Amino acid sequence: MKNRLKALRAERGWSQAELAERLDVSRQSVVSIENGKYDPSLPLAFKIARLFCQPIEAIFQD
Amino acid sequence: MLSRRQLAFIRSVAVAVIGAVVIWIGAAAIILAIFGRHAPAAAPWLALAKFASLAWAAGFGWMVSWRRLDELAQEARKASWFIGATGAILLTAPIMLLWLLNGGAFLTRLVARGTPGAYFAMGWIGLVFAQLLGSWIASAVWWATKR
Repeated sequence: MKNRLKALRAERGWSQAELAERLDVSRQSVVSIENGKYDPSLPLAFKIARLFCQPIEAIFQD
Repeated sequence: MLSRRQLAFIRSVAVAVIGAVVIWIGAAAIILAIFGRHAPAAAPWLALAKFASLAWAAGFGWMVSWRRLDELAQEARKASWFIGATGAILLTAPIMLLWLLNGGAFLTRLVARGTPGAYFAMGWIGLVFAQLLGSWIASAVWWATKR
């Protein structure tokens, strides 16, 4: 699954570690999600969507 | 500065250690008050108190260490244990075939001077070791695919 996490993070000038802290996950999780190697659970996807004030489908695409 | 996750971990370790010490000291004080310092009857109860103390630390530590993992790390462990442990069981299953051959003569020769207890311990430790090894290998492969 593709996503715009890296771009959204860059827009805000956050590091991967900062984003991980805001999402309460490890930096490795952020790396894996950004690289499309791991699809987050629905609760985490909602958390990401809320953090960036965007609908889930605007962040994650098939 | 420590992150929330790190602080939560330190707090949990403190609860595990302090809880274990309180259980041990509290139980030991009660047991010694009942039986007296040198009464032989106190020994099994003291051993039980020690076990309870260690069980608290291990159980609480296990629960906390699982809960503090984020979902990626939990997924890694689930996948590693499932694939690694079941793989290890399947790979070590042929050993049982050796037991079936000639009424287990091969294995009996291999562990000639063993007692039933030693056989049991060896089987248990062997299976645990195989499962741990399998899960470590599966874990390494799983993480390599997620980078």
